[in-house]
Amino acid sequence: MNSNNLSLRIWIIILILITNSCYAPQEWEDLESDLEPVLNVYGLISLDPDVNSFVRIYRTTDLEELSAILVGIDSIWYSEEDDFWWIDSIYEPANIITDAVVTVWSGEDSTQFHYVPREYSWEFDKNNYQAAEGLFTPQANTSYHLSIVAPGFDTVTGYLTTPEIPVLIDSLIQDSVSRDQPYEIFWQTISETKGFISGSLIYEDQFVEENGFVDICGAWFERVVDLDDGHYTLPPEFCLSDTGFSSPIPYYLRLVSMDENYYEYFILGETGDYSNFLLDAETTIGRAVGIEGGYGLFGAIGSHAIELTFLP
Amino acid sequence: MYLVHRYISFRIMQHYSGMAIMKKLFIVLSLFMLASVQAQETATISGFIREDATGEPVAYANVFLAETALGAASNVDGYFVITNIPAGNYDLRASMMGFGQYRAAISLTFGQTVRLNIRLKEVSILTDEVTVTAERQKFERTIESSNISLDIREINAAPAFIEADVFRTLQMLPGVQTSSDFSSALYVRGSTPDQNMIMLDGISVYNPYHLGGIFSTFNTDAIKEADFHAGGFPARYGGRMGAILNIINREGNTERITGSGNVSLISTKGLLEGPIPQWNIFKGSWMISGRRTYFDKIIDLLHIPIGSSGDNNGDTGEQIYLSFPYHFYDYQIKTNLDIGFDHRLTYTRFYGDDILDFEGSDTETYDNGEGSTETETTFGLHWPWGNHTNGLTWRWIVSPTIVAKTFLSNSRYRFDFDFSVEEISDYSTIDSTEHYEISYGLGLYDIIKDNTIETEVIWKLDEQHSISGGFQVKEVNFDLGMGFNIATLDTTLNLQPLELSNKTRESSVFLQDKWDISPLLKLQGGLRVTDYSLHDSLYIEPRLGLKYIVSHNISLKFNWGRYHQFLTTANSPDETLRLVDLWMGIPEEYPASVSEHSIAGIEYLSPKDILFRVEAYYKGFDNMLTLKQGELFSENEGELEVTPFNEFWKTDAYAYGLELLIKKSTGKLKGWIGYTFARTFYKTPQAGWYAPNFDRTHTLNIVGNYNFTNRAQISASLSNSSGNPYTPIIGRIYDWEQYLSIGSFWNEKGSYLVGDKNSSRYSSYFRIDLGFTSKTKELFGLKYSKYYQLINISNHTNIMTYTYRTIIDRSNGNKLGVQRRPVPMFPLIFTFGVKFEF
Repeated sequence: MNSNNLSLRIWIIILILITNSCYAPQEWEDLESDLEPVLNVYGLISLDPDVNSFVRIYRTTDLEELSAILVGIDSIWYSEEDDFWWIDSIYEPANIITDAVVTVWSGEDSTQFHYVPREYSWEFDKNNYQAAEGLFTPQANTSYHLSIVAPGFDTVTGYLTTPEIPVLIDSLIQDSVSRDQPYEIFWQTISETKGFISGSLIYEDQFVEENGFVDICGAWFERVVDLDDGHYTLPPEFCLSDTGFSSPIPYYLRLVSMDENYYEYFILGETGDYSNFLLDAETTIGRAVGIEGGYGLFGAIGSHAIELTFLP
Repeated sequence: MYLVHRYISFRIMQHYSGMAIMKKLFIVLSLFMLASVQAQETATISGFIREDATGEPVAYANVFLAETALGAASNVDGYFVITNIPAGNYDLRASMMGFGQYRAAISLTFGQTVRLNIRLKEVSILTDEVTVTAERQKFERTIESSNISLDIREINAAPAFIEADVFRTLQMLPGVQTSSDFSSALYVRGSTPDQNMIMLDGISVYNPYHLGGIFSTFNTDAIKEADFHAGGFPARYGGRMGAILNIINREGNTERITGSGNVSLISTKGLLEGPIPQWNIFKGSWMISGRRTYFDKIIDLLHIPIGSSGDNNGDTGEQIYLSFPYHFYDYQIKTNLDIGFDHRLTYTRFYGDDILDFEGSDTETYDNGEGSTETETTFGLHWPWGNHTNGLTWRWIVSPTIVAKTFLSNSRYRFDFDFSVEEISDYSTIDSTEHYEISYGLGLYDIIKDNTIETEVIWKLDEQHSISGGFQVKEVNFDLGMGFNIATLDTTLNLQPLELSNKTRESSVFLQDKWDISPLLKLQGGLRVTDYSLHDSLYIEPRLGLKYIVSHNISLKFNWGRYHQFLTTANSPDETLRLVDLWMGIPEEYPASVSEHSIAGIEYLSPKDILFRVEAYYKGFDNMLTLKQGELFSENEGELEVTPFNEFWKTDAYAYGLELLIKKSTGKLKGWIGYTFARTFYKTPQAGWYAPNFDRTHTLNIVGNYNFTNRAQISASLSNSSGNPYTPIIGRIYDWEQYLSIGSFWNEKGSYLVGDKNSSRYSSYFRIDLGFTSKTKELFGLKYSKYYQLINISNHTNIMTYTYRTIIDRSNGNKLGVQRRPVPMFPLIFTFGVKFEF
């Protein structure tokens, strides 16, 4: 066989191959899993009188089953850039556990939490277990236990010690916040406790009506602080333009104390064990902080806030 | 010798600062040289063996005195030395498969030293003369396990992806694994690519890839040989604990100017080489090669419209054309200057860059009747990354039995990501005009500068001992940072949220002895001692190689060694594709990574010079570093701070495996069959033991090349292996996010629950590639050949990763189950090209 013949034959083979096998799009494949379901819990003991203590209970979900139910529409908006109507939907987990027996106790005092269903989609503080009004008043520096017994699941138990309620020292804090000046914040020290300090504008109805929702540079911050320090200096913010407002705007300064469980779960966070940018959601190895027998968190917060003004 | 050993041991014990050791080493080397000036009672023949047509050194040629047991093999420089020759008349012969035999009658007297420049003529017709193949020479003389050298013919023989690539060929060898088709990085016996020392003519190259690893930076046209040590390498090499790859470039034609070129679908390569005319005692050669991709130029020339810039009044602006703002290029220069017989200076330079470079602008106008605004936005990305090396080597033949080489080199790797946006706005009304300017810039950079000086002295003491020793001082500057700036007409803000830099120095001395204890037993013992400037302790690395020759065709080998590494990469261990590496020296607070290699093997070389090699290995690793990923905060001395780039998990690991290689290097059919059984396990405090994502348990590679006429050559390769590990998703779970400011909300966040790290594997990898070359044609006086390549001819779907989605029930909007779809590696690809030479 001379090389010309061989060349011709190879060309024929190439043509056959190219015409018969192209870069075929890959097919989607349904995933199945045989995960033994366990309870997925978020229990919060709140020392803040404006926030009820609650326990949310779901279960883990297999890959092939219904995971979330559309319960409403938050907003619909048109994007000129995309020439497209966007819909922000409200979902709730499909696998809420509603028949669990939830008990929270401290020493001899035991309180039953009962399931409170959500009636309207905006009731974000429902679809969870709460104590009947007035029956549960958690105390600072107190140990609390949690027990969740749900049919078909392992019992989940939890334990925490509530933090002290923080106190901002109003007398040492200036009444107004200016974004281009350092701002000193003082509180009563609490040993070995982490805190979360935040500042934000209070959007009053009148303000929103006149200006719409605006994001003013330097008018919002969040910091994790050590409550043992008793003091934090908020540095000035670099802003590219002025606020566009001439009169002071109400401002809300809040200090939250956290127990160890809450701090570990929300602040330290999870060390990412697996990353894949082609996943359509985040991954977790499944954390249990302050609880045993399931995934989730049993944590506690205390809170104190003061109102100030934000200078334009 | 005893005194020399005593001297070295004593001095190392006394003074172990790096520079002190260097000074003492010079004294030791002087002792070596003095010892060589011993009275010669016998004669010596030394010299170089070169190809007659080009002057290129011929490695592994057999030089012997007929009807005696005296002989030697040429090394990679073509140098040989035969010592202890009694006075008399001899018939000296030099031979190498593919070349005619050289014969010369030589008369030797007592103490005489004869130097020869032997030229071997290439022949295409095999004669009846007994010739020795390179395979036979390596089999007989190499003590090291796991060492394989590929010459340019073998590199070019395997089917290639678009163009021949030395890394792609190495990936087909036993013990070498790959993470995906899109990467030419080498994972060797459980070691990651950053643990491999990649050298170009002895100079370290830090990120030897183009296009995120799809191509290696080394232009095969310029390569003479690739010397690869998968493990158990001798004391001469250090600083890495994986593998050693030394790419040796061609020296350049010493006889005439020649050239070659290669036009493929993505790039054009060219090479020119020629002699430096002899003047007095000076003579030399030069070689220059270069390559550039041209996809960017082709796309520009095609003028493919993809739209037009416009404003919000509907006016049509300038036409926008498709562009491909990426290209890479590299070039290499090598010059040799022989100064008499004893000295040679070699200068090598490599420069390669990948460049992603684009800019654009858009103008928007808005007029509401009361005023008008015109905003011009310009943005640009300039992102070059690549390597730059310079090396100067001085080779000094001190005496026929002592050769000294001194390297002076610098190697720089850098990437410099620079993104900027500038907005200029003019607002005009009847009464006034206002002008605004603002610009944003983001920069991320990583620069490594490596300056190295190294001396190696090889002393052939007698027929039993070949001793080599030397020192190496490597100073590396690491500079990793991120910068951000905002500027307006009156204000400028510069932020440097990341700034990591350190300067390290590795000072090493090494000594090794290749000792033929008996005709059947050979030993190679060595010691390397390194001082790392950021640590207080000395790092001692003993190396041992044993070879027992069972028969003329069978040998047993055992190698053991300890290896330290003083730098690491800060890349995510789970990333699917890697564009660049982030290098840094091992920080002061972490110990140096260390690995121990134990390798046992048996080799059989058939009478037809087919090599059969079986090797088993075990590698243990300690103190490796794995980048912590995804952790937002970390505790540092009680303070909470954002986790920086240099937070690592201390990682231990081990790897073991069994490898089989059958390699045929001569005849019409050449190639190899490689099978690897390999297991690798890493352990981090957080994940426990797991198989890293490059681990493939079974790998079978078959590479063949058949010349069925002088003008036609077909090549094929088959690769079949276990799939790579990945972390599966096993269910869904809710995490919570907090919103604590003016209100208090804790929202559910749907997440995937993952199983144990890398506890699942993708389906098996399978790929067959074919190549065909039709050669020896002429066009306008140029010899040229055409080549065609088919990659993955069965169009097998080899999975690189999966993409996932949640099914939405269209009737009610509910979220149902989860689906996944493979992201495949190479599909069926057809490429072709033309090579030419003159």
